[in-house]
Amino acid sequence: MSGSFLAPALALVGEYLLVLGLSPLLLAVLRRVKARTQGRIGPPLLQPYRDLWKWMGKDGIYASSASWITRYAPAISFAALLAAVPLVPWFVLPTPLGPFGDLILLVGLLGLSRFVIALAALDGGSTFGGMGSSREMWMGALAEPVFLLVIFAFGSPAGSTQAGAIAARGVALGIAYANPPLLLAIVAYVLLLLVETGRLPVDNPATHLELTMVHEAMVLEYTGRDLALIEWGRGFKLAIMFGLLIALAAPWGISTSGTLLLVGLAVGIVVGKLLGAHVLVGRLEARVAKWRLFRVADLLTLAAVFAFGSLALAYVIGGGA
Amino acid sequence: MTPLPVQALDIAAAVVLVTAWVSLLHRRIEALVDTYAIQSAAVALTAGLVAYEYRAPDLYLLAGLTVAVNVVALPGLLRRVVRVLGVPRMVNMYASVRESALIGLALLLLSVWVVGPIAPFAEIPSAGLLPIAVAVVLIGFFLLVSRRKAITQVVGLLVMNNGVFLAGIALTYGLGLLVELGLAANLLVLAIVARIFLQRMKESFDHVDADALRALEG
Amino acid sequence: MNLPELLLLVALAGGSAAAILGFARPGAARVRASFLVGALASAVAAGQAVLVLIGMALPTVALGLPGTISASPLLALGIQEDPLSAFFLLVVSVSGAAILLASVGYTERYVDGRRGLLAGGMSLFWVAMALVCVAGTVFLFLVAWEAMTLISYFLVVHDHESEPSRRAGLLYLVMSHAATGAILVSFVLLATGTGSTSWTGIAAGAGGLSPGVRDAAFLAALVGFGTKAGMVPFHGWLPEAHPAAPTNVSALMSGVMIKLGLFGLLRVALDLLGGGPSWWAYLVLALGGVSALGGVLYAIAEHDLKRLLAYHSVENIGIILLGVGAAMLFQSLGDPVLAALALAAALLHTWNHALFKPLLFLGAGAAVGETGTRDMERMGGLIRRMPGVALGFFVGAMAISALPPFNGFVSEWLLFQSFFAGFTTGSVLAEISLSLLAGVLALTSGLAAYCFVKAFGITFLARPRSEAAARAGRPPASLTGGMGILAAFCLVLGVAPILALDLAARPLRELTGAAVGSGVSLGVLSALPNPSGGSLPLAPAIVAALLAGGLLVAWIVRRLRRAPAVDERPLWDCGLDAPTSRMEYTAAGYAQPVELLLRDVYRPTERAEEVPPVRPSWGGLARMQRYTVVITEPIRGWAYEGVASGTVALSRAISRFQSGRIHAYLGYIFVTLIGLLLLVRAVGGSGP
Repeated sequence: MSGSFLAPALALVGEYLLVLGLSPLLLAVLRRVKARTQGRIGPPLLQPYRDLWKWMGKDGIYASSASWITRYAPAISFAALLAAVPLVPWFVLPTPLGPFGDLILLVGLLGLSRFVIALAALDGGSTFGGMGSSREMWMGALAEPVFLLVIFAFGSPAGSTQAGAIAARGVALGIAYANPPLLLAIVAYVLLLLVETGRLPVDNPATHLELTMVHEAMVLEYTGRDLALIEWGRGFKLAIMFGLLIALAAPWGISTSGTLLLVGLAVGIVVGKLLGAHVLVGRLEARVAKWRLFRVADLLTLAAVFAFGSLALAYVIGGGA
Repeated sequence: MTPLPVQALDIAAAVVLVTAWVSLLHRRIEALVDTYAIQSAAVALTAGLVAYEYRAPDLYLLAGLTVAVNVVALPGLLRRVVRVLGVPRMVNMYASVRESALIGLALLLLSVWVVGPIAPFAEIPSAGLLPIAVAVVLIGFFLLVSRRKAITQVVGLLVMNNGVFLAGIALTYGLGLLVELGLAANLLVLAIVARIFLQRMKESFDHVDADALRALEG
Repeated sequence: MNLPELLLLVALAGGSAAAILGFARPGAARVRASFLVGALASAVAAGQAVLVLIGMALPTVALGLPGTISASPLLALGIQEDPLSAFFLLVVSVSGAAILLASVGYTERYVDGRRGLLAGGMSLFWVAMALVCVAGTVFLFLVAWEAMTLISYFLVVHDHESEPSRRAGLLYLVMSHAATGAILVSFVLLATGTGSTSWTGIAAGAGGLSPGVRDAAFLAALVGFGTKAGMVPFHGWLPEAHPAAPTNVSALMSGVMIKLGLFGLLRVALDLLGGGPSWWAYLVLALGGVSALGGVLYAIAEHDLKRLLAYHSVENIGIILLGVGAAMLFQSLGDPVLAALALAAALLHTWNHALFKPLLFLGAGAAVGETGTRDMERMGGLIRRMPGVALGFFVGAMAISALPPFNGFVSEWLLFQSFFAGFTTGSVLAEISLSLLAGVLALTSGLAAYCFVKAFGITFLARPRSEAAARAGRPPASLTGGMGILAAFCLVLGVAPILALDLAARPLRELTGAAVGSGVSLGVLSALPNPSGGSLPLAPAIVAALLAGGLLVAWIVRRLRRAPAVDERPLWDCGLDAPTSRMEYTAAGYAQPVELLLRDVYRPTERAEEVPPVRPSWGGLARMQRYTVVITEPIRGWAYEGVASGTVALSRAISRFQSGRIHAYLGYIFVTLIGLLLLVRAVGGSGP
């Protein structure tokens, strides 16, 4: 990287554009793969873009019992998720944000987004909203320690809680990066990812069945531009969680030099990896049924066990994840 | 820098540990059996890697045997038992899943603490293998103790068996004696499974009989 | 007499004058003046503390030596203001000023005489707390401490007509006196051992004390100051006294006074004794972890708004203790840099909590005052009746839930970083316990967010849940103003925590011996040394900028297409009758998933009873049941039933071993095996 501000600034803009532009497509791929696996045709790949465009032009409507919380929560949640984008190394290292943020901040920003939406869900006074809000915050509270332990497990060998530093170590070590603590940390992270992004078997993003929905129940009252912000934000969250998985588990391919060609190649690689990961989750999701809410606690306990086990094994093996 | 096969060996061993933990999560017997099959495959892979790296051809035999018996035959047999005999498919437990998971972690910490200092004396230069093997044995034992049904206890026994196998590889990279031991253990488990199979069959047919008689009453 | 000394004198005299003004003759104007003078005195003290923290000092004269009779009246009193004192004086005074200001309006509900007592009492309470901070000798400290306790007792029982208030006050008084006794023991041990009664003298001689005396002094101080701070298991008075007191008094007690317990602990453990063996640290860490998690768990189960906030004080004291314990641990392991990092987190969180907790209490006070109930289930919809208060409570809720860009996030972030740095200490026990505690801390902050969505959502959002809530009045402007000051501090210290860390640099240097620099650079947390080199990876100002950028993008997205029409309609009703507030989610329902998950922890008492149907005509068709769950803290039961039930339980447990089940016997073998493994490992070979 050159010493000027220009290159990091360009990379930062590139990252934002990548995530803003790509996240609806990733969602579409996921839905499509799931449909195909279940023997349906599935929506076209451009459908999420069309939906977003449609919502942006739609008339808005609010419950008369709702306050300003309902009106501003979607924008705050969107902003918090967008602010988390540069905390993930997408295609260049060192990350353009440099030393100014880490994964604990990422947890905080995800928490902020969840907090305001959960409040908005209570704002109207609908029972569904309260139910979804309570469940979502419950899951979030249980997921937070797992997230922290996962960060510790990935971060301890690199001596940093920054995703960029961890990925840089992985790129430098090459294949020697892979070892048992890393494997355990990855498994823990994948379990966490299912909970954080609200995929099956934890939450079913396609349902509107009152008794089972979690996230959908919270945003039931929304339409129009607010819904566009919420759904797009949800796309970021999916992209961020998957992007982080890729950066921590298989960082190879992220460009460490500033040449345009290599960076372009790295963009291609990361897009490919993201698509691949979404295809995998789509196939997985087509096969599993939603679990009871309280089994989520089992899943998260197991994830915590994996993360802690990773730290313990790193101690035996030395060097760590 | 550890040689690549040893690194792969470590990872395969970690897969064994992961599957041992995951087996504590399952509440359906089929899922438990599937996890066991994956675990056995990882064990076989470990044996194969050791055979390759340390040129111990008899271990290839053991790896092949593991695939044949522990990955294919035993899980198949167990699934059949569940399907044919109509064993209720839920795993009954004395400890909840969450408690089990935490105990599983404690068992790893314990084995790391206990075995850690002697791990360097193992023949394989992999510090992780022995603690993982001991942890898997303990987790298998815990499965045996904490699950109610005979069939889940068999899986517990099999998990223990995998752990013992892994420990054997780590300590001696499986010379002749171990091959025999492995065989013997597998045969023992086969015998137990067959015994359960027979007994359950008898019970089931008794049940069928009784139901038929009751049907005649009405 | 130099400037800081003059300012301190002015502030203390001002506070006393405010008290006299309040106690004197009743009259609305006099009461208002009393509060305002008290707030002003408090603000002067805050300014004085800042001056001391950036390097100015009171004139130093060696106390107690013959021939050094000071011309300065303060020093003759035994006042000494070192950086630690100044930091806590700052914490006490900023919040004190805001609370006293907010009290002008809040206390309008009281008749003038009572209001005057409250005004005078609160100012005097502040003076006592300031004196506790700047006391330089054991005598002055104990006098100020005792005054603080007594005044706060009278403030707790201000509403003395109510029986619960008196009971809570008595409990508080008894526990506080037991605590003072423990503190006295600690100081007597230190003073007799070193032959000095001033901080400087004791600190100089403490190295020569025998380990037994040091341990005893530390433990006595931990119990004594821990009780005042509300540390589990000595927190019993806190959830009783805070709800009983007038809410502005609760704000002062919960936000400010309990911090002085921490001040005392830091003074004895780190300043006077200069740190100790690692088991001190593990003890503090364990108590901190239990306080943090226990506090938040009982807060979730609580639907009385003020008790909920009181339990959150226990939680936050736990979080601060985690920082203090980590600092003590790192110091015992010989790593002053890490100790400074952990202690910075503790000090910052101390100040942060002193800002957002009064903010929340004042908001709760407005809600409670205007609806006449403390039960959240009977509030609701207050955001439209009191928008300013709701906004303040919203900010406080985000800050206490450790969400960026507010101050609570920064201090918890620092604490996580110091735990993470525990991996470089090389001590296995430290690594394992710190990563475990990091999990505990994360769970605590996740549950705090859960609890505050409940608290804010049920209290302020949706439709009013009772007549009183629907008719709630608008609280006075001064209350909103006081909240505004506190909320502004929450945001400023969240975006530029470096301001607070700069002020904390001197106490950190003095307590840990680490080279803590100061200086603002790009808003990065550069003042603190980063254990792994470089600067700490967080720039709160840049985080705020990113969030602002995100809001800008959201704004653009909302305007990509022609502005559509926006309409307001009644809530979607599933095609039934219009939904009423009876159909809203309740606080009890909101907390239910956690209560269900942790039944074994809460051990609720449940009762279901048949009640007659609402309309008699339903008689044959519908039955109605009333279901009640009561969750009480286990610690209440222990004192009475502990011994008796323990014996029975033991004999039952023994008889259970002979069950005749094969699993049980396999289980014994399993346990024996584990025991043998442990034995083998413990006897042979040294630990890894």
